[in-house]
Amino acid sequence: MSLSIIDVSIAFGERTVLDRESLHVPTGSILAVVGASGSGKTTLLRIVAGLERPDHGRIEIDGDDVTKWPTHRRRVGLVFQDNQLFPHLDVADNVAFGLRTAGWTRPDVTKRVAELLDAVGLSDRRDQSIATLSGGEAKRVALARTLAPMPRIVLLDEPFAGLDDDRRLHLAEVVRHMLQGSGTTALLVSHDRSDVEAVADGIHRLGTHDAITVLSVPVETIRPLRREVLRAGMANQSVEFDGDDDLDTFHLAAFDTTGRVLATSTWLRRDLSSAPGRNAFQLRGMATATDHQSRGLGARLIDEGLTRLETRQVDVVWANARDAALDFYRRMNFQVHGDGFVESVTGLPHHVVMRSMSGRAGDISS
Amino acid sequence: MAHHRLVSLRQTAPWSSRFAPLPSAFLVVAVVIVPLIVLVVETVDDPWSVWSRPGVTGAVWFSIWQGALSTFITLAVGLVPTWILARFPVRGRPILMAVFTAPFVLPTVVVGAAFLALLPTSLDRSLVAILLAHVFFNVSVVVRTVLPVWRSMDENLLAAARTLGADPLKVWRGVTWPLLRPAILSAASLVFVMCATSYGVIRVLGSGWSTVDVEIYRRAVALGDVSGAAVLAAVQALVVITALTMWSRRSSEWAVLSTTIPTRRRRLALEVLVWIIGLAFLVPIAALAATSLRSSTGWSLAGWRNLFGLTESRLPDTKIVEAVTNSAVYAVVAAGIAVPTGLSLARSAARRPRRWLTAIVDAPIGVSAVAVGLGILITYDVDPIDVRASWWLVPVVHASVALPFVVRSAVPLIRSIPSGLGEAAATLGASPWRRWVHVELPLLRPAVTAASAFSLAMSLGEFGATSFLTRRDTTTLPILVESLLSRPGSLSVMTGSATAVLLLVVTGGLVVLVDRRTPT
Repeated sequence: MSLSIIDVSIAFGERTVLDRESLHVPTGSILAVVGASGSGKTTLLRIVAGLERPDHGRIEIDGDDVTKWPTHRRRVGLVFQDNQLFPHLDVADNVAFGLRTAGWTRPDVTKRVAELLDAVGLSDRRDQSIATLSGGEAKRVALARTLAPMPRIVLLDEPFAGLDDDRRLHLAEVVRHMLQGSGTTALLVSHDRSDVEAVADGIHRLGTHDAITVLSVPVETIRPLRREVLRAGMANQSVEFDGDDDLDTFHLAAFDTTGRVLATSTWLRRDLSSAPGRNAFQLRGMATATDHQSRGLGARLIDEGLTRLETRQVDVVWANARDAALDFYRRMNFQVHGDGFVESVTGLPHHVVMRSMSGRAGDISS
Repeated sequence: MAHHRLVSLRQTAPWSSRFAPLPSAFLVVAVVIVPLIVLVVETVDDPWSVWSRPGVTGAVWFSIWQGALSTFITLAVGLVPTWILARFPVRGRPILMAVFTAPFVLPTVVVGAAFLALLPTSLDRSLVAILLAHVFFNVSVVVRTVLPVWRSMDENLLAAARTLGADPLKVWRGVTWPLLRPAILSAASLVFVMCATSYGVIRVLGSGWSTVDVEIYRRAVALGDVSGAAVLAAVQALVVITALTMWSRRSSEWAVLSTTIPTRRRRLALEVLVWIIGLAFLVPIAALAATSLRSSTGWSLAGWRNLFGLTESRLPDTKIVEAVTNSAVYAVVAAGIAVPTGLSLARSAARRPRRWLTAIVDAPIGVSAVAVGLGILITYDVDPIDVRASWWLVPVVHASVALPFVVRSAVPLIRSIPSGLGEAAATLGASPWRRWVHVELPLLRPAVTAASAFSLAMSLGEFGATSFLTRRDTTTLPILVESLLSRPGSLSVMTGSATAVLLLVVTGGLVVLVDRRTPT
């Protein structure tokens, strides 16, 4: 279930809250929307949920225009910032609410509720009043309640606000585990980028009119995306790379706001023969058009990849670069290694370019 | 981020839309406002001449100074228990809260009867009696309005003022008083209105004294000066409604009474003081109960036997059993009208307060009940709508009298329901109908209970309008009490007092029960 927000604007009286906002979340991805308070993050979620109607633009779920659908028909789950748990129902009945609404049978409801409470670690609280829950527990109940009826899209409004660091980490883990485990497409908003990095596959900055969304994608997804890129652009490459499945490997994909993939980039742990013993990552990218590099797309992908490497103690990142790409890599602080060509896996002549990630790796190119 | 639209019409149930206040407005306009206007238009030729008729200016003057004096004493007496109960833990707090908050719904004639029973003959129909009865009634207005505000004042806020170098006097002047002032002023304005427009109490206690309400009754009934009564009623309604609308923005609702215990240190002296005041409030009630049991020859249950129809009544022209039945039926029917109507309004007012609506719904407080009764008799006597003989006229009037109290008691309870729950249910796939049945209705239950209790209590105690509208076979308990107590003979006093005790127990009990069930 993919989600597209297309050219959405809304104003409350004189105040424009969202101005022609567009973004796309591919099926199974978790996109974080960040922005200062007052930038319209919550309003964006409310529009997707159908709680507000945009003045302009539309919302599509899997290509269906749902802009005029009432909330209860959309199957879009929303975890409210203040949870909005029903005070007249206990924990289990809160989680069961959406299931009963959808007409699940009693045994199925019981089973599903138990499953979700187990997943959020609150099995022992099922019969408790929601008034007895701590902030973190209430948030987990709200999450379970939203996920229970298997919504097509899940929205999370500042899910980590007001929690201390330990709880935040724990909850982030739970959220990521549950969303990924169910392959749910999700959009979450936060005022703090660091809050959502652990959970989201990518980040969209509200109000920047950013035409590109970069997302981490799993290996099953990257191959079809590569195929799509190749169909549109450069030929003669395989869509399967050695090491795609390695535990350390990660894949990024850049989409435009309509959900069309523009480029992919895969980061593999691979030693460089000229720098033995160094912790090295190889970067392999492809794009639908060569001039995407110069238009900033390549730079975005490299920045996003480097951000994800920050926690991994990597010494050096390297890539095979064609002649035409050398200037681009130089601008990204890569150095050309040696002066000869190497034969890359694609069979084309390439240079090796590398970028040191730490002081001690700087000596490899000298 | 707080820039949601306040009301998202698409998400609320269809019947909660902008038409929700209409039934309430219709009820008040039809029962109170139209009759008052018709009364004035039909009967008044020369609105100026009434002011020179004997007794009129005296009644106006008495209403004002007696109202001011009653308000002053009520505040002086009422703020002491309010302060102690708000700031200190006190043993038996629930009992004291009941004693200090219930009298407001007691029927006026019952309170009048209680003070009649309590005071020695030299005082029992004097100004002192009137003032005492008014204080007894209205301390509960002060407690209801001011206590929750005082209670919610954060101890740390006062501590902060002290750390900034404020001595206790400066803390009071700079922090406590500014925070309490709106609540105290709104309590004062409501108390003043209640005392200045007092009717039942004066009818029972105050021979010789006349408020404007009593003067309206005297002119209309005793002197046959309907046009004079109409002018007085109209002027009073204008003044009171304007004043209520202007002053009492806050008092249009009663805050939920907190039952949480203050965390401060217990202080024995204050505890004793608040119990003394509380017990003083029980004295008139005890006196009333005693009177119901004391015949000229000694203790006797004759009054109670009479009340429950256990003996052949030796009182001529009284149909006690019928009065009990009538009161019960009228109260239930009135609640059946006032509760759905008032809740529908309260639901929309809780989300979006509108001043003109508050003014209309408060009109039954401001318009003399006597004028309402009189106006209805004059307005609805034309043939197609001659409803004066219809049995349902009294409960409809009771519903409109109860309406302001239904709304006041329901609004804070409705407002305490988180506003996003309907939206949360919608995101979980619940249709408008499911949202109403499974979310709204269960959450409204406390408001329904509170509104029903207030409506029943107001209807059971209503005296002013009913005194015009009842016929011999449709009499109610308060009418019966007044009529029994104004007759000579200990049996009639005993029966009247017993009836008053019954009314007191039922009305007070209803409200005490509701307040205790109210979630904090």
